[in-house]
Amino acid sequence: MSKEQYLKNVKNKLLIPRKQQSEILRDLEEIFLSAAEHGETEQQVIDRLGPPEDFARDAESQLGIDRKRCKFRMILGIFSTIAIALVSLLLTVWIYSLQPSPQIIGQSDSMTSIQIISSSPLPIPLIIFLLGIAALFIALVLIIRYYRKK
Amino acid sequence: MEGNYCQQFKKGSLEMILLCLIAKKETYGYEIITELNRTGASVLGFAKEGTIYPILYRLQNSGLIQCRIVPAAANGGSKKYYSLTAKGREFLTELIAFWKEYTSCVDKFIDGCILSEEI
Repeated sequence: MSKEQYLKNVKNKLLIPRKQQSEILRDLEEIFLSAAEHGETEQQVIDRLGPPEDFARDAESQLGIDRKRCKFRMILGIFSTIAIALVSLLLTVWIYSLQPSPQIIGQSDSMTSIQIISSSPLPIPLIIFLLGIAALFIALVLIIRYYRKK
Repeated sequence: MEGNYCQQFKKGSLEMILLCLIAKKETYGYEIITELNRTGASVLGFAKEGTIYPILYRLQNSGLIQCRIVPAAANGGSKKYYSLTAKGREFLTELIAFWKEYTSCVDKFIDGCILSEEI
């Protein structure tokens, strides 16, 4: 394992807020640099530090972080983004099913002079659809992150 | 000797030792560990970053120590220098007073406890 790999592994295991996370990673960086200054190799430092999971867990427990609560919050985040995604995608389907088809006027397939002009610059169904896609994407990212940190 | 008992003693005193080291002079992680090992390794065992840093986080979190980050010219990175806060100073004074009282009390029991010299 290299230093970069070690730092990455610790980062992946940390559940704490970003600010505290970068604090811990900065300290690890300092640990490696100071050790190198005194002639220690990366491998020696890693052996002394122990497994990245343990380092992350110890740091968190000393910072008074409740991992269970962090996990609960993550799960809550996953479910609410999935809910947003579902609602907006269903809404899009519903809106499109309500829209009259172009052929409805006069039951004829020939051209009519009636134009449908949208009042907003971006059609609202499209916005809702994009919101749903975005929420789905965020949910996916959150799920992946949850499983990596577990 | 490496039983659970001794581990508990070490665990309990390590925070006070760290506070003492930081009280003596503003210092940084590697220096703390070097100093710990120079003076205490034979009794306390070798100090590791994995043990020391989490304790430093807690001490900082409870407002006993503070830190400032200083760019380190020697290695191109930066060093975090720790010092005691006013609260930390007050806390350590009380802690040391208690420790002295505590050890002298325990010593009285040890003194009265005569174990057989025969092996």
